Amino acid sequence: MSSIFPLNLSVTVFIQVSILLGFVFGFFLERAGFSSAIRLKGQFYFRDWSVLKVLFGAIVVAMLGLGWLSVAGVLDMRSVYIPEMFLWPQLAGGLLLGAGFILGGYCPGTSVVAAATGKLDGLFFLLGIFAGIFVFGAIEPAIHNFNESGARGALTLPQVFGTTTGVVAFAVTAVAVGAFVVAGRSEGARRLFEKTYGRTK
Amino acid sequence: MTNPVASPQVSSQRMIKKHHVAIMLLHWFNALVWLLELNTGAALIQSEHFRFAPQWFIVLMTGIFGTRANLLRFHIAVGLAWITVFLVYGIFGWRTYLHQEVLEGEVALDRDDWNWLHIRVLRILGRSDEPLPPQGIYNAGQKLFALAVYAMVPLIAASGLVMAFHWGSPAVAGWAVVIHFISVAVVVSGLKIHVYMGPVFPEEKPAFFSMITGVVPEEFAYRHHRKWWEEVKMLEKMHEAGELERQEPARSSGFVKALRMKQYWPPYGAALGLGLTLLAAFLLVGQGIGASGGFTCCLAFVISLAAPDYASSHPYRSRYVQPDAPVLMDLLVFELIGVALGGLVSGWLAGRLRWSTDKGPHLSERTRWALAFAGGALSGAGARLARGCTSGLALSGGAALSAGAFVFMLSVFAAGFAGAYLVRRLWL
Amino acid sequence: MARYAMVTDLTKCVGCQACTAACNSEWDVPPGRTRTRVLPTGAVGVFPNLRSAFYVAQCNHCDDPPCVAPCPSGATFQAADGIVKIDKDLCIGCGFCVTACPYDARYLNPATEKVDKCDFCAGRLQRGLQPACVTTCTAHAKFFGDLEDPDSEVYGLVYGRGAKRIESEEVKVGPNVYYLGAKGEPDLVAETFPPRTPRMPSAGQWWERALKPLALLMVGTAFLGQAVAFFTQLRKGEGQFND
Repeated sequence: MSSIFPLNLSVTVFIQVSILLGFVFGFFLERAGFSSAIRLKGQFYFRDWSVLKVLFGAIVVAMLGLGWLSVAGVLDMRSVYIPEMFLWPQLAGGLLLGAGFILGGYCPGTSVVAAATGKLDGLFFLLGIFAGIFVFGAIEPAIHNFNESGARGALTLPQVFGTTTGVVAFAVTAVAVGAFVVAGRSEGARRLFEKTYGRTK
Repeated sequence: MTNPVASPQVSSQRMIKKHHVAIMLLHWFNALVWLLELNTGAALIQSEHFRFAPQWFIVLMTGIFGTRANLLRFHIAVGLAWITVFLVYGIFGWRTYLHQEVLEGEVALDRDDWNWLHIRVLRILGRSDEPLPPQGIYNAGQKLFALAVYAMVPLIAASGLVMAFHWGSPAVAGWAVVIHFISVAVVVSGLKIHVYMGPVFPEEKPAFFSMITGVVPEEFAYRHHRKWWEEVKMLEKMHEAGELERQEPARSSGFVKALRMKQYWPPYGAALGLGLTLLAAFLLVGQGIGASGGFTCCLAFVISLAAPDYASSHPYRSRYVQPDAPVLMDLLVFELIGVALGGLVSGWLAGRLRWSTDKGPHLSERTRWALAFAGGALSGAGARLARGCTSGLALSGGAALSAGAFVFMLSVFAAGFAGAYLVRRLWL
Repeated sequence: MARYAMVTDLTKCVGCQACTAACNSEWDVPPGRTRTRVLPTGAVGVFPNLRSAFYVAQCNHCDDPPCVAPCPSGATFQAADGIVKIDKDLCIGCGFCVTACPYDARYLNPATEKVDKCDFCAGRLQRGLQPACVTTCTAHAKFFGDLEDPDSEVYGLVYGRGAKRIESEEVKVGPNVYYLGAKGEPDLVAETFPPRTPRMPSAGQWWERALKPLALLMVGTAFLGQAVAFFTQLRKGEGQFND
């Protein structure tokens, strides 16, 4: 039995679908409040845990959906794109992006939403992204070896730990739920603190 | 001649609000679409019976897009985005912008308007010094153009859909071609005047700037839109006298409430939405949703046009620059357009659209912009290095249980928390 | 550049329709439609002076193709080698070209909703093969080649043995499918199946006669008005509002 998904779409339909997917994605990002740098940076000062909640919540929902659909035979996981692993560049890239996040207040996707709702800092962040990509393209030849280092192919967590997808999915869900509990407690404690000692800046 | 002495209560400094941010954004979105569609459309019409663009223009546009088929795909994609946006506008903005009173007051022409048109033309020709009759919030020329556009836009959209998706018999397709062209011609002839009147014609310059700032000087309103100015004044007086009660918001369903909700959604609600969107993306196109890749494609497109030698000088840069596959035709670019539109619509519905800057209390706006630019540059480079950003790698890869995605997530949070301590003065 | 042509020897053609079958299967032609077909003229004349021939009809890849100009999207075009092609990505299925063809060589494919016709098997030519109808012809009556190459078979047949085009007094668009006959078969075919005058559907006629002039008039008037306003502005100086 061959699976129905992913669909094999003609180019025109593909374009429409991608605009639509982007639209819904942007809509939910804005709804979550990710068009505001104030709200986003709150995560890194333990004031507002919505970044963590939304990120892990979405990962868990999509991961469980993918898992169940592929078990049911509706989705062919082999044709789903899994990002390739480049250990060292991804570690370094994460550090750069994290630094950019706390300095600029956004990440690439959220800056688009911010700029679209009239945030000027979002607009400058967006221009900065272009500059960053341009500079990276210019210096890539110099750091080419590093940029290609630690290549592991499309490695997945189940392969790393030598176990089944189900176990990993359960573990990821458990970790996420744990993180949600911590987030809830932290926010609760903060509310109590503010109630007792007044609002901090 | 208009009366050079302004009446005592009219100030040239005071500004009156004319346009909502949503309308301004819609206007410039529409302008961009028309710019793109007119240029690609003109280049698409090649045959002798129909064509009007010169051959060099057709060659140039085809060169930019690689092949004529890509040109057509782009034309269709932009057109669809345009139709979607205006459908959303029509559905959600119906009560605010499209009900009878607004149409009668802002679009329909009355006797003053016809006189105004007559005198306006004579004045431009230098044949009359008669004062112009008083006008409402839009003058008769603007109204006439609006009427033409309102009549033609459905025709353009419908005939475009017929041609793009082969709806109906060949005869229908043949008529769609003709209707598409003639209705565009009607709009273009108005558009020429519209574009001239805005940025070039001296008397209407405040109206042009009002599409950027949203406000016009009171004096301009007084001289050019007297009836509207009187209405605004009357409302102000009633407001001062406390005669205006706040209108009760209309009752609406839970779904509409969620759409129009002023606060941010609870994080788990947004997470569920994003997760399901991501799942839909995996099902429909076989991959998640990314943002930074789209930037790379846009940039590569500009570079390949501006400096093709630089783009092809190194394998890393030339990856996105292939002569036959124009880089703009990428899934990621269209997703990016969608993300911007989605954010815009969501912000609009929630009343969050306004020019502003998010910053810490001790920071000037300029410093904040410079820091945002620097942060953007770091993320741009970081996303290239990691082959994805928070959306494309962490979120989409994470859901597919990619090992690289989790490594990336750990280091983003590590850098974020460590950096947060170092730069706490910027935010707290 | 090449100038491709097809020569059909009507003295050899036996009307077996093998070319039609080969073409249909090569190009997935839907039932009831053809890219090439064989039409018998039937017996013409008075006994015992009867004549008959088979008309092997297909796209003529005319020198001056009447189907190109009416195509609104530019999907139909003439390649540098003379082959008239259809860019399927651009075709919107309006059928303007179908009525324009004097030889009725085009059809609307109901499955794809796009126009299709013979393209001299351009795909096969690229792979160095002859068109499917030529290789399959049971009587070896079909010849294909480059008319600009004096050594080619078709060059000899057209310029040496005088193969003829199917044209009429009214319609002379330079077809590049030639017919060879010993007893006036090409003339018989031209009499029986003369090319018809190209037609334009009513939508196209409306555009040509009324709407295109109207569109140009509207845009032109706007342009003129704008120019007048601009020069008045230049003459009178900057506006009355800002002074």
